Amino acid sequence: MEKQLEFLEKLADIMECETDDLTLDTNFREDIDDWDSLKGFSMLILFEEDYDRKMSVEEFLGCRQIRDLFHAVCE
Amino acid sequence: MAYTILNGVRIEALTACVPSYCEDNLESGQNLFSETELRNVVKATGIRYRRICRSEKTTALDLSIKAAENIFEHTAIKKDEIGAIVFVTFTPDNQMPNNATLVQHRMEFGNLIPAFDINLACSGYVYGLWISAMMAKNLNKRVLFLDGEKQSSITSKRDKATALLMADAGSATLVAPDEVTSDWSFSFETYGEDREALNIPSGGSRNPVKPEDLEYTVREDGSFRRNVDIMMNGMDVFKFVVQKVSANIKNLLKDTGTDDSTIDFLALHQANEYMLKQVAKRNKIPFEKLPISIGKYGNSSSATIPVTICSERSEILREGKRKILLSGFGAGLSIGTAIVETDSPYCGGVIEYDE
Repeated sequence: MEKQLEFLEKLADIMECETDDLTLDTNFREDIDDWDSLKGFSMLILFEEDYDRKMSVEEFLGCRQIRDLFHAVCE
Repeated sequence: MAYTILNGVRIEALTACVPSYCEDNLESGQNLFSETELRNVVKATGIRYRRICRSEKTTALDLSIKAAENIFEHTAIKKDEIGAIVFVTFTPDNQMPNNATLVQHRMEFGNLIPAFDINLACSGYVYGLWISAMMAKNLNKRVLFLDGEKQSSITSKRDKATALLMADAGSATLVAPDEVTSDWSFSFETYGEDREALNIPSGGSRNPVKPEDLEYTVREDGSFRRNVDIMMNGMDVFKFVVQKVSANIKNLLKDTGTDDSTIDFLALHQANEYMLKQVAKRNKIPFEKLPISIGKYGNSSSATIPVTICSERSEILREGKRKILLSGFGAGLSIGTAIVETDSPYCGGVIEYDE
């Protein structure tokens, strides 16, 4: 759970929203206001720097929910 | 190279010039994005308006000459006090000869003067300043340094990655020898291995233009672009800026022992607002020290640095001693960062070019 909360906190920082606004079920491109691909780029850098996980743009585009990102990066 | 120090020069004058024609991204982006997407793109990049040349006949040379003329009109400096002309551009009027020789002719400098171009993109202003400073010392005369780009003629209006970014602008900076000034420090980095991230595929001697290069063809993301247009891999450039440029700035501050609280402001290449804020955040530099002009003018490659100083900090620049961190970064991939001190130069602000 702790790992999950930390993950959500970091994504909330990038998406400029509250951690409480996010759950694993959040469809991050549609459920959060002002989604833009630059935020996606920031996430890829976050995954690489903080989780040592290089994700390609193609793989990222295949992820819809935060759950998909969490599984790919943390598990 | 970690960094290099140079002294004995100062910026004596600076003026930028943009086309008076202004394009509104909320209109020109309508055929590229949905309404919500477009609003978000404009918000994230920070680019609402872009200045571009309306006429095919207007070039970066015209814009930059107008900026240079503004300096001679408003200062007592005479043309025969200029020792050299340097022009930074990748969009010269002709492939041969260069822009600087045309500046010599059109502005009626004498014939006994060196004049040459430097081919660089977004990192160009810092390189131009470095070269001009070395030359001013060597010649013990002022150097007229022009920097301008016309990107509108090589940007596809139907390319999602570039259409709402690219703009046109020109500038002129006078660099003069001066014994009493303080040190300027410069740091450069080059990543030729990442050159594909930002380039124009055809038109050079490696891939001479063929008829099919002039046709708009559909790309992976649904964009249409010619092979003679600028292409950009957004993710690769973003990563380069957030990681490499942030680190380059951090290292120059550290290596020169510069306390960032002594920096009056950062004149960063205006690539997009979101990215610039990431760079500032990573260096823990408050946003008040990060002037942004991209919302009004767009991204005019290396000319965004003088445009930003002239647009957002001209009063502050004129009023006394200032310490500025400048950083340009982009095609190459290439980074140029400098910490310079100025002392009340003439600043003509951003003037407009009517076509």
